[in-house]
Amino acid sequence: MYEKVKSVCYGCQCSDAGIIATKKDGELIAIRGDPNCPPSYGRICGKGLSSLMVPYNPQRIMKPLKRMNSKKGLDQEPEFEEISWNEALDIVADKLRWIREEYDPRAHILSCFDYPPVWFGPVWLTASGGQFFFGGSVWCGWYHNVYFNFYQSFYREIDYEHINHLILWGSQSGHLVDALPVPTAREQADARHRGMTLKVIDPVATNVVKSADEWIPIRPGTDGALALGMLNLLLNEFEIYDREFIKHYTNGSYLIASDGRYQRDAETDKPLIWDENKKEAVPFDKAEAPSLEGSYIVNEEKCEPAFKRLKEHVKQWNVERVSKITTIPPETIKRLAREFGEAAKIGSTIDIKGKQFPLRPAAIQQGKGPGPHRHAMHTVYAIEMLNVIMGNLNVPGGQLGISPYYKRRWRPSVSKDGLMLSANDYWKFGCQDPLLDRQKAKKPTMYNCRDLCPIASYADMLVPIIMRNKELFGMTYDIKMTIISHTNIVHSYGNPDQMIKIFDDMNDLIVGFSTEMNETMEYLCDIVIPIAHWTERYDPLAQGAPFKFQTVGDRDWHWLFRRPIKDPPENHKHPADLLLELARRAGFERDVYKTFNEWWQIDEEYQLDPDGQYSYLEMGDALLKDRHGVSVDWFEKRRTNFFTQEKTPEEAYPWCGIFGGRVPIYLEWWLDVGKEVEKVVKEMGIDDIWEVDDYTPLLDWKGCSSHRERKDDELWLVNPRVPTHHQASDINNPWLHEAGEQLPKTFGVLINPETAKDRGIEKGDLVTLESPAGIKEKGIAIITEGIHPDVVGVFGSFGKYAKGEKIAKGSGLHWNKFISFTDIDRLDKVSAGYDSCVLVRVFKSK
Amino acid sequence: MKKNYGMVIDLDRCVNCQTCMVACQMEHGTPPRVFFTRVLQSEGGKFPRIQMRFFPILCNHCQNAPCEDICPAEAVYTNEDGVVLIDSDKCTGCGACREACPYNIPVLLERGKLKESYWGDELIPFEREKYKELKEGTVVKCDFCIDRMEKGMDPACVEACPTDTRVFGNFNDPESEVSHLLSSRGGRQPHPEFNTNPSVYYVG
Repeated sequence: MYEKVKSVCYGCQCSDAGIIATKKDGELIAIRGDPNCPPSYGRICGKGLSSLMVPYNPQRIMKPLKRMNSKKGLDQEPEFEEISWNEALDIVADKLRWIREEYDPRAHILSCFDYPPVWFGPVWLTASGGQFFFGGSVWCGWYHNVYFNFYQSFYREIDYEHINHLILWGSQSGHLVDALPVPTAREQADARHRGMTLKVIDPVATNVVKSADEWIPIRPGTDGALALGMLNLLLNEFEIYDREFIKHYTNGSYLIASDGRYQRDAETDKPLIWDENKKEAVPFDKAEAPSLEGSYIVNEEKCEPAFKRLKEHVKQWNVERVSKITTIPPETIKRLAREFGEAAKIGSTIDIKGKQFPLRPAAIQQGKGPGPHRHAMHTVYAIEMLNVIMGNLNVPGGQLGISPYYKRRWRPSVSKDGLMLSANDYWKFGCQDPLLDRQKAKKPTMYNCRDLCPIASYADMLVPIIMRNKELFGMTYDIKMTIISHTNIVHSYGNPDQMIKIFDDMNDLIVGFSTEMNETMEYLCDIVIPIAHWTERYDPLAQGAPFKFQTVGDRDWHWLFRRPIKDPPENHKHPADLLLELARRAGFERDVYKTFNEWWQIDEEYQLDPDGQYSYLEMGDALLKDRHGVSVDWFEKRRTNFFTQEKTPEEAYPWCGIFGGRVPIYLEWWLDVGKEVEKVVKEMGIDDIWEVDDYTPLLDWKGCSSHRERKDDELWLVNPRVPTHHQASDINNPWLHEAGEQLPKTFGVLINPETAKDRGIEKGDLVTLESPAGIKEKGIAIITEGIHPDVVGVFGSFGKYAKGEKIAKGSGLHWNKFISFTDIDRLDKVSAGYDSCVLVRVFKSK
Repeated sequence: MKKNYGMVIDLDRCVNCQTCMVACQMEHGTPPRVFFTRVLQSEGGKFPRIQMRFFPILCNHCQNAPCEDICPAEAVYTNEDGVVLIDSDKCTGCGACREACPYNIPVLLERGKLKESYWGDELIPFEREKYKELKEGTVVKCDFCIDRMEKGMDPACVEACPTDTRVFGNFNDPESEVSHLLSSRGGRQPHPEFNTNPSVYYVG
């Protein structure tokens, strides 16, 4: 018997494609894009289609497993034995109960990168008292901060409908390697067809270079210098910037006193602006003609507009200096800056559905590349500042936030100093608003603490570092249990031997939820509990609330609903239902429901009864009813996988002119934060390792240790992505593995011909990569002009060791093993990002 | 008028995401290492001025199909839509068509091939279902998803392509999108010197 089921793809975390699946006699035999589901234009990608294979993996975990070998390590067999569901759940629940009632509720961690239940996990954790560890944030967490500030969103995407000039900076947008892979692929192809210019800044020519008008190879980790150089050219040499936007919608007009702080109104305490009409300083909300230039005496003190400070500050980043750091020729940097500035058409406007908006058809999108370095926060802000001075934030043609401004509780507000505050509830999710509700710096009490990084969006990177240096950070308790779901921290974080040791040394019990085996399950977990695959589960808010990976621009809102296509194996549940079962057994189920009602401010009629018993689906149903006025029944009766609601032009382009509030170009409050942090680290006695000199209101590039210590024969090892494999687990999918083999570079070591020649390496040679610390990997040399001569590249995340990943094992190289967590100096103390610069020597293997 | 269905591939739009390849596998259930379509990738130029090329390939459904002319079993034929097909009941797997095809497209489905599972284990339900449509010992290739065509649907690779790189239609209908594309943007057949008159054109 055949049956068709509409659902939503979850082949990667983006959940942006509606699908129609076909079943025969209950088994999945086809997946295709749902032509009527709007967000992905009915399309799907290879990863989504290949998901058909996964539930049928013969190595799928079918029964709960208990590790019998107490020794852990890559050289240790787990010696798993099957145990009953009851026994597995009781072992975990008993430990959880003991931790909560007798030890310390904080002493457990949930590591989870499962997006659709993102509204659920932190609710559960708040009720349990534990800590969150994203498990992926080390490579992507640092940059969300800049999006909170500038786009009022968790993330951002390009308005491809109107853009004419795009610079992708360490990003592969439009090439199936990004947050909204399927919709942006078509939108960018349309834009290119329309004549959009595409420039790519990247040490490696990934697929996106094929579509680019120009590839600008850069030395890894020097992106901040390039951004500052471009700022200098645009502000001081070409004088191309959106003067009106900077005056009225940034704090560039705020007067700065000699101590670097805002000059404030004595009466109202509001920051002052010099008004050129009134010829006097007035509170920021009273200024008619703000000045961006000049020096003024206010309150008997000399002060000048923040914008002038910025302009002066970036003069040191002259093009020759930047060229030397980045290896990009001076004329290329000049052309890059000028063409970007000119394409922004500053001053132009566009009518959308009868409303006038600024039109800025030029933007820069930064991806994962530039950020994870020693001074991450400065770099990501410097790059984004190029967008800010063009006034292209959340306007047609520019870059747009992807989190919805929708209905109640979502509108941005304005701080007392006139800056725009994030519209979203990020801070509930272990993320935090860089302005609002800013935590004070304090001695850390949590392993994932932002106490020492008060303006970081999240600080999970600290978990393994603090675990390793517990005494140094003054932690008074251990992490006794870690539950790992939908992440592979042993393979995708840093060096696997270190990760295993750090977690094993401290935890009594490590629990994995997974459909398939991977390095974390095999080498780290004591108990492995199988879960339903995404084709076997409901996700009532499939894109993940509240971040919501919504398509941007002048398209309706859409909300997607995932339903199971096939039955899971017996007892295999949604991981959220497993967590509920654990809460039930450990005696805090009631707290989960209460927390849910409070967190989400659920209307009384939809609130959960704390004494009741609910499933993840029923909780999602309450949230759907409360938030969107639809229900699980609504979707089921219609057999649909989405509903849409009209987006107003103001919701599509929610720029500062609509909601009021300014974006910061001068990070004045960082001064306070720096002082607070300094005080705390001095009290803790760690001021020698925890420097605070990055808390400056203006941005700089200081480089990573690799830029100072690199020896002549060393190369930077970088880790780009191919479209079918930008999620670690994909590589064990036999269809995708085969697709990877069809591409010429997927599993090899990319080397520039000159670099290869110097080392006597030829195409097809077996080569060794070796770090100064003695970490080694071997692979086949691929000689390509598409890589910077100072760089060697391996795609990822490959080089899998797990025995339960039979397909993946042995393919590619493992980049992450070169990342060591021993060096606190590699940590960016502002963003809690980690320096990903890896230096290696490359030579022909014997 | 006789129909001539074919494909126009816009090389400017292709990002080599390999969705077409996987969508084809989904439709035809091809066993490991058998492809009806692939994307070739090449690179030219000198650092940093390089040119990358992505080049999707499939059966060209030539109007003067050498495979059809050579087949001793008369298994290869062109249907009324201009689609070149192989009748697996007639095909003996002799390989003449493979030698004749200048594009090296037809693939012999060797004996035992349909026992091969992608997971290297027992066949999964999908494979059990789809392998029924294939016959070992015969030659196989892209059929423009003839089963879907009969339902008025585009080939699977066309439907799935996230960038709309592939467009399918009747070249003999001047109003079809493929005809419009050829008239507005030209279009090149692969290796016209082979004189096979392919029904696959490239633009961009």
